[in-house]
Amino acid sequence: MKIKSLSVQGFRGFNAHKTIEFHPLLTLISGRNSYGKTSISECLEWLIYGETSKVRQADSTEEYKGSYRNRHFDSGLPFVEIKLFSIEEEIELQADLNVDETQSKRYNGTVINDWPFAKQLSLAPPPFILQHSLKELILAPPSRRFEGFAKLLGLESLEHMLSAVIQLCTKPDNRLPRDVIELRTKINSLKQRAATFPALASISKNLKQKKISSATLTKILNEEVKKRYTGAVADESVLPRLLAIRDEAISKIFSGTVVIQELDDAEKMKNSQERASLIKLVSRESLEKAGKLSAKKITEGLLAKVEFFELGIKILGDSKDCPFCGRQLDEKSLGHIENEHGALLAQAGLKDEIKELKDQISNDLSLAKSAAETICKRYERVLSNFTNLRPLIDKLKEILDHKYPDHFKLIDAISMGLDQEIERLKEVKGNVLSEITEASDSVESQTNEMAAFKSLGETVLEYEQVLKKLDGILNSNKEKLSEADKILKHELEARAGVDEVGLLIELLENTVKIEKASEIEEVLANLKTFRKEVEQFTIQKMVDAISTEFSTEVMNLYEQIRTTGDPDVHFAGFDAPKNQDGSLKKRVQIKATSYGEELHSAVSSLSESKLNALGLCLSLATNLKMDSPFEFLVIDDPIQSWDVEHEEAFIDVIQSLIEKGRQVILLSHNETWLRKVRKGCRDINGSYYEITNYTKEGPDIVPQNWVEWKQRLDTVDALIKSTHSNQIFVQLAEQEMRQVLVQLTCEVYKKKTSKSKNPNNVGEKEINKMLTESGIPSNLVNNISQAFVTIDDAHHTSDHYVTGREKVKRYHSLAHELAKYTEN
Amino acid sequence: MTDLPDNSAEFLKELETILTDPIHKRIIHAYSTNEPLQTMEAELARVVQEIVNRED
Repeated sequence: MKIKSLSVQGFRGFNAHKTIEFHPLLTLISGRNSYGKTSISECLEWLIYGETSKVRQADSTEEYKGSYRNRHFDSGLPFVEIKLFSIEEEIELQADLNVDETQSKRYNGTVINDWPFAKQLSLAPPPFILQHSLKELILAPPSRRFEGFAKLLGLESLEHMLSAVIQLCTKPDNRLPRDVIELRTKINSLKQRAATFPALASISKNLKQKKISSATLTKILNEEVKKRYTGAVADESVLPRLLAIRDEAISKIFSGTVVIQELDDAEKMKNSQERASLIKLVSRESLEKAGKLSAKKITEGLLAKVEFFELGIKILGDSKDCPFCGRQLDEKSLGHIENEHGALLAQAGLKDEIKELKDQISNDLSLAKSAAETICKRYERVLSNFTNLRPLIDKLKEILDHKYPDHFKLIDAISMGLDQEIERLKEVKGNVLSEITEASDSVESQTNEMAAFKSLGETVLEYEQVLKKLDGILNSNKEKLSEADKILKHELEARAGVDEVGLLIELLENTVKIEKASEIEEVLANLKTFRKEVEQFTIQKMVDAISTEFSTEVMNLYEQIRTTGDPDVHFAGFDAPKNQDGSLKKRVQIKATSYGEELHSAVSSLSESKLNALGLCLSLATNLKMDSPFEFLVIDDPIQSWDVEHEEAFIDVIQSLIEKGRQVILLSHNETWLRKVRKGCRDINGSYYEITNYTKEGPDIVPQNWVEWKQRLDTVDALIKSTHSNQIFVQLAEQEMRQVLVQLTCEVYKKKTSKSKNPNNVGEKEINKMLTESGIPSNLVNNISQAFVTIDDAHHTSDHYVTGREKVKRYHSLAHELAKYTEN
Repeated sequence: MTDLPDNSAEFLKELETILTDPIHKRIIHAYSTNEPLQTMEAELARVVQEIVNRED
């Protein structure tokens, strides 16, 4: 899509509303420095991307805060609107600049969150070639240049993937599961300990192997143990024998331990269920049951009547005699019994309900009682190591305190705390059991059920609180106690002279874990290979993209700018350098040659102007190569630091861009060069604007003629007088005459009315009106209008070409006549 | 490999065929452009957790 027009208000350099129409092929905008040229490209950039490249690349975004809104704009929301067109459609994009610097977008008037072409846009190079960013990529360090090229060539996703893979492989253990971290820590510490036993050097060596199986390690350990301690015993007897040796030696010194006995999964589940069944006693459901039971008590009298009535009905049977005295009952009496007392039968079910309710409550209480007892016993068992430790604490102090005082203090404090809490648990358990008994009695006797349950509930909650406190002590100290236990064990083994035996036991008990840890280490170590393979894949993709076709495209453009007088020091393509092992480095190298000799780097060898040219060619080639939703290219001041020869050479590049289907919008401060561009691209007859002034309202953007009418008349003269003149020449002369008359009409109109008109937008009907309004005599107006009709017809009717030459001469003199009105 | 831009899916598919280690294939297969590092880390975590959990 190409741009038809830009409308802007309150954005960057634009305060008052302004519209710029763009030529479908080439638009030139000239203006002195700081006259607002760059604001034009910034409007387009911001509209499309939501930010300008200047702000995106800024080191400090703070400095650019509020810079989008024009300082003098005070009439609502600033906006930028563009009209785009293609063969198929014309669309309108508008973005309002909100107070928080976000955009509110409209697509053909409909509010949207993102442009429909956003996905395509993310893979396409920006159609903005800006002076400040031309050399940025070229001068960037080679590794950052790689990232920049990836972005330019739509390989950004690949670069992102590589970056994520590098992060993953650099610190893989950052987010490993807790189980895995614990296993690695434990096995590493075991390996380190093994390394401190010189006598077990061969085992330590085996442990350092990249991968070792549990079976192999067990075999090695068994052989070592048999050699040292047990002699010829069966493999399965090795570990029990070692344990016996160690326990016997240690028991002579100390018999306690600080290990928290772990519950297995089944026991953990049972514990949770039992605690839940206790808590259930204070649930709404449980209290409702008790309440119901209490409420139903008042129906007991009624139930006695029901029983009596049931008996009466049974005896009455089918007879109509009184069941008690045999007197015959009349219809009225029978009706009374049925109507008034029959409903009593419906109450018979109440008896069953009360029984069922009582059974349920009794069952709940019975389960709770059993749970309270089991839970308490379980905690007593789990904590028995600590409760048993209290009488041995002085001995433990003697063993640990001088070498590991912190560990001793910890064990002492925890064992004391747990001891107190377990006593408290037992006490509260006793309360729970007696409250359950009371609640059971009250249910049975159906007296004060609610009060009994309330009291039971309070005791159950207290019991749960003690359990939670115990859980808290155990959970928060688990790791510290495990460490203290290990230290105590090792200290005891050392004191008992069985530390080597202790190590062998630990190794034999952990062979499967050692195997698993070695497997995990292998997985983590292999991530280096993973990183390298992904890196090489990514670099190769980049090399494929830059070294062949793309290099040629950049080179072709570069050659167009190159002039004959240039020293033979030039850009020579892109490549990725290689490491000594032949693998590719993640860098983009810019090659250069000097008189045929390869240079180390283009960056250090090429002049500023050539680097500038290279940056320009790189941006242009990328835009030509990549798919983009846009066919326009905004080029802002491309020729800074160039000499005249190179400036002129670049005009050919502009023409080739247009030939390749691009709409070029060229901004420059260099009016002389833009004149040359217009001359070089005269056939295009594009749009030319001059920014003549800049005020607080914004830039004055004035449309100018592509070529002066006098120059056009010279061309017409040359075409008509040429001895080689043919039909095509005449046709060209006619086209030029039309432009001359339009331009002259606009000039006369401006002179007489002070109103400006863009010659590119003035149609045939408007000519007559403008000339009349300017006070031109009607016969001249008619002749000029007639000339237009004739010339226009000549474009389409080949028969008229034969007489065209004479007509062109006549219109030539009309133009001279009209030109007199432009003079003072 | 879902919700990937056009060329990402293509690159990842090609990369998956090139990688030789099945674990690396798994990690790349899990890659998502929305959370690239997190998705690969999660897969690596699954791989090592499987080793820990394996019944021998």
